[in-house]
Amino acid sequence: MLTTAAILLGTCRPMRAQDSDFRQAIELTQSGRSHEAEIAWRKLADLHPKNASIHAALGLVLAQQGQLEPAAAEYRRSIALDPQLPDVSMNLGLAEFKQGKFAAAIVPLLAAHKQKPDDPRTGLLLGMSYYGSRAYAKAVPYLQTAAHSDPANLKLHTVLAESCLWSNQYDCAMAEYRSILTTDPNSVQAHMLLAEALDGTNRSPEAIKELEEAARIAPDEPNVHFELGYLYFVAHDYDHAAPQFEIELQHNPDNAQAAAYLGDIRLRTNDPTQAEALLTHALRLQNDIRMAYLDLGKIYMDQKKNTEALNALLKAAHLDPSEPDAHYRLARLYTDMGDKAKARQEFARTKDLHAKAAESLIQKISGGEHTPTP
Amino acid sequence: MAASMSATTAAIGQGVASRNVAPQPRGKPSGLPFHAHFTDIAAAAGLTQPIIYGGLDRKDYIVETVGCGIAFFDFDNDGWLDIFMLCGTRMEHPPADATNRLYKNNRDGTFTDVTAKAGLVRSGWSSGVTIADYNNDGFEDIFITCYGQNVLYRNNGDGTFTDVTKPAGLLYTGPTRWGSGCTFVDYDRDGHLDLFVANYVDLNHGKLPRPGENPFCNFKGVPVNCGPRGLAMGNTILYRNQGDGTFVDVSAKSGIASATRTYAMTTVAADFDNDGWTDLYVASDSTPSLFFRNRHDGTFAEEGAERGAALSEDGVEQAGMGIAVGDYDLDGNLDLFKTHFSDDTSILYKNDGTGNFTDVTIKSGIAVETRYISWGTGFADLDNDGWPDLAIVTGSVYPEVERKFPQYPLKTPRIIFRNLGNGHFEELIEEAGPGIAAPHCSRGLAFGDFDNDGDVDLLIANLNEPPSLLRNDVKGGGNWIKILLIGTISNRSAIGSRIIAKYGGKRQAQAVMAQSSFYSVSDRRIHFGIGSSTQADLEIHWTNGLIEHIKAIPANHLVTIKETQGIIRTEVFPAPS
Repeated sequence: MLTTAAILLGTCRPMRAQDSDFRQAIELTQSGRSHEAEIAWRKLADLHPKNASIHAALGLVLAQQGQLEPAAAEYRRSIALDPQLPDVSMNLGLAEFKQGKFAAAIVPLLAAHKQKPDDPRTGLLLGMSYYGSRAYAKAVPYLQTAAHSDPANLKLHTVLAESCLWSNQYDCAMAEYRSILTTDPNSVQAHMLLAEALDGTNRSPEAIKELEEAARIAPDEPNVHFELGYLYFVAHDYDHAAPQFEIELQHNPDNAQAAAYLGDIRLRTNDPTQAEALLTHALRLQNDIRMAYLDLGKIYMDQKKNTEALNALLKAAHLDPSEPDAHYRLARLYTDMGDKAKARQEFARTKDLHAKAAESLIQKISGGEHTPTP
Repeated sequence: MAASMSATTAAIGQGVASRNVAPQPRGKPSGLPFHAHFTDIAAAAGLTQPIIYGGLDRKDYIVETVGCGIAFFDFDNDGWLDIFMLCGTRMEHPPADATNRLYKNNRDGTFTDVTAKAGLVRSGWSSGVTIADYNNDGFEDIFITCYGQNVLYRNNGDGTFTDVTKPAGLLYTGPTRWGSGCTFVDYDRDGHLDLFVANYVDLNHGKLPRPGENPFCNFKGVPVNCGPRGLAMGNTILYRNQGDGTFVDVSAKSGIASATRTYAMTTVAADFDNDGWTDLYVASDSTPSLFFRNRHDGTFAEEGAERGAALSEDGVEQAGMGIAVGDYDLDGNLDLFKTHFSDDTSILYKNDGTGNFTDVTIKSGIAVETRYISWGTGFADLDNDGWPDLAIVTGSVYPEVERKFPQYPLKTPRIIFRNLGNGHFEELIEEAGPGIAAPHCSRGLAFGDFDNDGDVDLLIANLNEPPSLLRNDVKGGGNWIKILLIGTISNRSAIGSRIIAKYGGKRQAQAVMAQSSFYSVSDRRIHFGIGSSTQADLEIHWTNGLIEHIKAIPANHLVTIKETQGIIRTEVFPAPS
């Protein structure tokens, strides 16, 4: 896509006195002698600093040598001098894209797309740039057009499917993943991501089936058992969730989230000893898991280990001060510890958070001014 | 499926709080026989009129869904329980004969509708009922809450009632209120019953969205009526009885008015902290429940959260509907049990004797059940084994949902949690008889021995159906005693008094209440199953603070005890009709 030297032949307008230098630079460029070509174009650029075509050509030979940043600078100079020069915006976009500067690639690519709306390469690059800069919703239409004309390109369809999924366009995501699975029924990633799309549309049983299939194809695949466990967990099916988290931890003992969820299940099913071990392990791996702190707080309270409980609950409250649960437990703990002032403070916070949540809903739902009167 | 680690368990996207918890695993069945057996004899007893309440297969507004309470009480003092049944109406084409009803007990297992003769015909959206002798004239009076004007009926003692709402100072002329729980309570120990009234949702503020109009008007994706979440909240009111037949609003002065952020439902009045003064507890829907501690000076402090009785153990608000008050672990303290929405457990709070509560739901085995929306409830020793059991009635609020999701039916069974005597309960449905297993859309539940045969029967308000009258036929030979208190210094109905019965090494507390369960009133004769014991000693904590000890009450008798005068009557059951 990069080699667009032809533009130079049609677009450069060199000074007559330097015709031979110009011809030589073109010949060096076309024969692939990039470094010599670069020297030739630099010479011409020094002589004709306002010539957009020369800067464009210099950018091209720099790009051919992998010097993408200086190439981009030359392209930008060229565009500043003559924004209409064909293909320079495209080349700038490509240079930025190749450097991983996806957001920077978007502006020149949009200009290029405006110049040549039917050019499939520009559309594809735009879609990929939006994808790279996590603007998934904007990526989808460009990628859909590109994928439509390249149905066998599995990678492109995967990127499109991910863009659909991560912009919450679940129908589009499901269609893409199903299409990918028709071509490659053993794609573990496709099964896993299709499951995510299905879950996004509240079709948890189907999502579970997809993950089970992924686990069958690749039982050692990282996260597949965790995600399966998570789906069971949110469906409150702890009997099925627990073994999945256990398998995940066998494969990947450092999966902090799996340890935290399994710990939470152990606590729910009245096994505080195992729960404590798992939750502590989870926090050793990742020290910002709020639920683990909250659960540990409860375990320590039951064990009358007030200091440990206090530390855990304070961390849980710190991680999300807007949730009343940690404040409520703190209030109960301070009461047990005889610290009435702090208990009062935490009870007040708990009540206040509940009241604020209720009031905010009232405003949102019925729009009513709520000023209760006795 | 980004596995977020939020610990928030409150459900969003529906109008009622539910923690969305899974049931705890059931242990092995105890294998012990359950000696109570319930059969619905309502039709044979003549209770054939339906309790009209909202649409049959859809309910567009929350006012159609909540339903009403029901009462067992003896309006004519003949020693036999009569029935007062509340009723609602419909948004469209309300039946002309939809009315609250009074049924007189014929003492032969049947009842006669005496509503018209008693002057109690009334249509509209009735909610709760509280019954007690507010004017200390020897006859039980009735107060009902409604969507609209609440009503106080004075019992004239001749089989008729008079609407005295206006002369009593209870006529309200402001924007329409939706009365919910209500209870007579003598909060200042002056011997006159005051009146605590809750209001559920304030429908005057803002707009009432239509079903499906926003995520909170949906249940499992099906458009349903909205609320209470997102609707303006009602308030709670305390009226002081001035002793001359009139009441005055003391909500602000007493501190009751300070608790404003609540969707209040059932209310109970009892002395929870054993200090001799009656406290108030309110089951709140989707908001923290309220515990008003009596400060002995005419004021209350709302301490629900501080005392552990406002939220679940994890600090989450629940959909409080009904309340049971009783002593499940026989430690002499009044524990609390509160019913909630489906996908949540009911909650059992153990009282440490100072009015501080601990959530023992999981420990006690209650958390095995999360399937049903639960309403009326109560502690009662249903099999007379000496341990108070729990009964619960259930029913959905969304008739629209079962068409799409049969697993969420409108009509659901009743539940018995039999007390195993070791801090654990065991859930029984079919095992407790066909009356328990039968599915209905139920709300109110009253406990009482309507046939005076020495066991506790159940009276249930079913929406858009006649009520259920579940006759209990107890086997197993467990003994019992019944106590009827009459106050002389305290209010005549002894509302707020606490009885501790001691039998066979056990010690059980019960309270005399004017409302409990869900918006309902139970038999004021306090029933203790005493198992194989042949007698019981009583410690009576009268409302006004007097403590009396009465020894050796013989098993299987009803004794009437007058404050400062001891036993004034002893009756043998089964009583002749």
